[in-house]
Amino acid sequence: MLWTRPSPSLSAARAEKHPRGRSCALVAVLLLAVAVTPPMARWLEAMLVRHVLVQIPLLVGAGALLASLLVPRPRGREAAATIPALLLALFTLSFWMLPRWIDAAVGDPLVDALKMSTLTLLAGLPLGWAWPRLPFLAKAFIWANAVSMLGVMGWLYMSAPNRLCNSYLLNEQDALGAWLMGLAVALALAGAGMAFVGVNRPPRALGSPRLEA
Amino acid sequence: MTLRAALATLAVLVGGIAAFWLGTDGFRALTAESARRLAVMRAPRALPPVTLEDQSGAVFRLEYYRGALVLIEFVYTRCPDICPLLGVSFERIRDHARQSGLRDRVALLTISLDPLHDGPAALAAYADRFGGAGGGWRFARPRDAQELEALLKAAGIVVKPDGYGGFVHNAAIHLVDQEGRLTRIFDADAVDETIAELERRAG
Repeated sequence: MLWTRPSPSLSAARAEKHPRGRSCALVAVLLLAVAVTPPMARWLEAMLVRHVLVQIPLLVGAGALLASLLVPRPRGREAAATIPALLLALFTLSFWMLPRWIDAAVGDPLVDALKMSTLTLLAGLPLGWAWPRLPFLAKAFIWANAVSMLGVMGWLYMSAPNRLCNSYLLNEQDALGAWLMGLAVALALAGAGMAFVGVNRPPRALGSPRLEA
Repeated sequence: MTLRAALATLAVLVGGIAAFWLGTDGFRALTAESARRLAVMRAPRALPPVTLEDQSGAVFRLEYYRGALVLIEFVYTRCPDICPLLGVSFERIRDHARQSGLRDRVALLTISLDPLHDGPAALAAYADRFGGAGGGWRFARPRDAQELEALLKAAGIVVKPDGYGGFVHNAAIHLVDQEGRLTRIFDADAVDETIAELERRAG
């Protein structure tokens, strides 16, 4: 899973240049194409759940993949340097979670273009850049926070009595809430699985890339 | 943490908070609906010219209301939930206006956002559910689809098919001032608040 490391030899080989750079780029372009091609984008944005839980992750995922391509793999302990990158991603993601801006993206192609580019470049890219540089504990911290944030967001969307988006129906809002809660549960279970059922590595691989490189 | 990382963190924090501040009107408008209400209150919006046909088949123009305060609701007569609720609010406001100094100074206008279905007969039947037209209250449909679209756009109304032959739309009480500008938007059930504002403006 995400915070387990590949075997030391492989990791060392990847320290300089991403060996699967080409396929990463290909997948990133593919994800972007699915997310932004006008007919696909229209279809994705026609439903709230598809908009938030398919299109947005596709954009962020594409940006994250591009990051592994554009910048060399990490060499040392740089956790503190990732703070601005993580904050940037957090701000960008939360901004596009605001019902007002979800609505605006549906109604205005210019806003939509801004959404697509910022989610790729200001959320995906910094996330993809920061993640491999994070020590195990930081990853676990972010993981746990993602669980609670998704849970709270899901609860808010499910319990809001009024329509939050003018472009979407109330039942779509409930559905999004349920999906977000489900996602939170899935992330929590996956995290617990990795923590308790031995998918995690021994302390030696606590996530400092220097230990392996 | 290096100085560079600290400065970058500060920059992101300032930029992020600024983006949220601007993007939510100072954390006051998290939804498009609250943003619309805030924007209208700050800068009243002129409404485009619209030709309407009322429940008796009479044709008139929205601009004829210049000089009076007008409350507008956007509905469709087959609407099962929010429109009738809005209608009850309008009925209460009309009844209040009849017995108060607001008579002759406030007009009420119900505009259908489903003009294909809501002809004069449908509008008259809908009016009967709220004590009928009269007392300054008319029920009308736009004659021209493009004019309707321009009106909805100017007012910030988003209409979406609900998948069952009806529509989902943001419903509210819209106050148009004597200059024909949309100037305040109230919740569908905010009768007292609307009356207070009318009395304040009617002086």
